Amino acid sequence: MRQSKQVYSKVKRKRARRISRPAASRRRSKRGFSASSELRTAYRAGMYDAKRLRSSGFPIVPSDSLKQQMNESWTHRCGQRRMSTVKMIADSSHYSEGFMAELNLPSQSWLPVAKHKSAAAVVLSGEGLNIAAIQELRRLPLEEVIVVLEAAGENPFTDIRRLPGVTIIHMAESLGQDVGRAIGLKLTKAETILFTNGSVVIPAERLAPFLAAVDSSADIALADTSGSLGLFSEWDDITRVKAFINWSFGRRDLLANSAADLPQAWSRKAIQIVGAESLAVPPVAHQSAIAHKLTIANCFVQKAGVGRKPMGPFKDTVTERLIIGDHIEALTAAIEQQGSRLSFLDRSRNRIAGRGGTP
Amino acid sequence: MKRTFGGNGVAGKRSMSNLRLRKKTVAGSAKLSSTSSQRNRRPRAASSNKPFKSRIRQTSRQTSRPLYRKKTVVSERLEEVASSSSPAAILTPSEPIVSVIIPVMNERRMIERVIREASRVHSRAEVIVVVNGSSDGSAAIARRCGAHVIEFPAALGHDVGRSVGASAARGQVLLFIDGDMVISAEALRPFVHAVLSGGVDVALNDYSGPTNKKIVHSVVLAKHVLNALLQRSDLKGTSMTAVPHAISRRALEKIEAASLSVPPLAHAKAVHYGLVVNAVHAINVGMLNLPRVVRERVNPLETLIIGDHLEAIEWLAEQTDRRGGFIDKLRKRELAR
Repeated sequence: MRQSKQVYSKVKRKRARRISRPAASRRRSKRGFSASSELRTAYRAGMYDAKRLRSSGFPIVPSDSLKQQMNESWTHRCGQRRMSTVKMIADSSHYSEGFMAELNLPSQSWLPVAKHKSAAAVVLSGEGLNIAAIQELRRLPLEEVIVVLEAAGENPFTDIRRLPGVTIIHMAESLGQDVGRAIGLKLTKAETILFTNGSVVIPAERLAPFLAAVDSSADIALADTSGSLGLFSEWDDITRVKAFINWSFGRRDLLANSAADLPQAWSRKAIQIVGAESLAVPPVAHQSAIAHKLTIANCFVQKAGVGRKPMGPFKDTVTERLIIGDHIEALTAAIEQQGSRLSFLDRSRNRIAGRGGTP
Repeated sequence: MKRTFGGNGVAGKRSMSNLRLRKKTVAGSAKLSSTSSQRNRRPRAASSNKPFKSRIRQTSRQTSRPLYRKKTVVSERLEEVASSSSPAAILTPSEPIVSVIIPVMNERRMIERVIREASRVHSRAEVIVVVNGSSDGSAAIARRCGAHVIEFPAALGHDVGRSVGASAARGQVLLFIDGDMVISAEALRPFVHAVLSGGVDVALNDYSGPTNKKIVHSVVLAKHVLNALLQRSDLKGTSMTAVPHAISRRALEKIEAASLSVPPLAHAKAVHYGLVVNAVHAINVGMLNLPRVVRERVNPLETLIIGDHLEAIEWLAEQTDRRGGFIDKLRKRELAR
């Protein structure tokens, strides 16, 4: 070993000699573990943190404050590593299990997310509310869960009332597509706001990256649909319009990802920039976000083909027509701000000649 | 008499004598043309193309080379020759039914064949060639072929020639083709017939571009989207941007010749005004398009066409309520404020 070092680099050997440190200490620092080897797994880390919490005299009951406490220790443990990789999400669920096991509490399947700002969820729903969707949200370290129930009967209402820590806005009549986003937003002061659809169950593991992305660096986190798009010939009109809008706004990298799709997360700063009322017409908010050069993160939601919307020709329902209209409104707004052809100017045409004049 | 030409375009005494010789040949062929078929009418002078065959990709004027200048001299001479001996207005009948409009910019190697096919689409067809920014003798060739030539010294820009040609057209049907691709008269006739006897106002090429992939070319995307916004998803990616397409005189009066310079705008107008717009016949123009390496680098067409589509969408929004006619009555926006 030592011989080979000498062969490969004489300079390095000389430098190493200059450092007057005992060989033993050098070896220890190379291993890179600051704390004891007990913390090598997330599960053990959870147990360790729970033990410390218990010794501090914190009331040990499965409550929201315990969830927040656990999340704080997990955030502290993650330090600067705030990436929401698959491994980190797996680690966080192991951490949570170890934490609860140490406290002799039933596993709540809580999913801690490394975050420093307050977070809330606004759930848009109507008659088709799925309680499981709300329960997945309850696994996340959210300060508030606000459910906007539009044109829904008593049944979904009584169902959610049973869940603790959920604010319900119950409207007898429909507000119209996406107006609920702006309404729900008015009830919270959280820094990060996650918007979801109450009728679609998305596991907390898939929602955690949205929170983490907005908490760390992004202004907006959009659902990444690019994996499930398939061939262009099979796309529906709305997907095509979304892709065209992104292309013409200079964000072809977003493909067909759009603020019109749920789930998505916004930072308070981003909402203030685009204006809360514009969230009622999501493509307009999307346009405004791109125009203001906000940072947009794309979060993977589901595998290709799983729960994919059936693509096909334009079905001409009221909602689809509304969404197409929203996108034209977004394009019109952009044209009003930036001019007729956005950034695609026509410098080559002699339009006077085209109109019959002499060039 | 039967001397073979040097073929290397050497200037000087010898090439001058060649020109004189060619003049005679053209005159002879013009006499012939009154009796023989159109195919045989192709003048021998076209063999002057030969020395410059290596310059096929030449598209813009900026890249002039010594060889180029020589050729211009030759083409000017050709013009003289052509004007003195052109077959008198064979492709400009007194009361044409079909007007074929061909915008041209330096297309001398194709234009003759294009005009020949265009003139065969109908017995009373006039061929209008809008030559702009050409220095390769395209105009002379077109004149010699008997087309009605409208010439502009400077380049007009993409598709402006369509507007110019349409203003000059006298036929009941206007067929638009490009000067850089030869499409046979048999393939062009369905477009003319759809307008003449099929009750169609705008007969489009049923070609949507390659769509069996995940990420398509932005122009393909834009065409599909414009049709969707016009509530005509059934048109898929067909558009007045693509040639060939034919329009009726009624359509021309509605959408106005000036709009034809911005084909997506003309397309939007045609659909929005309730004209009968149909894709009638498929010709894969993607296969026929020439690679335009220089032009794409200097002035990419892609961004121009995307801008055109945005212009069309803007026009659509102006005609309606910012929402392209997709009304939003159900949304209670006042609650969101």
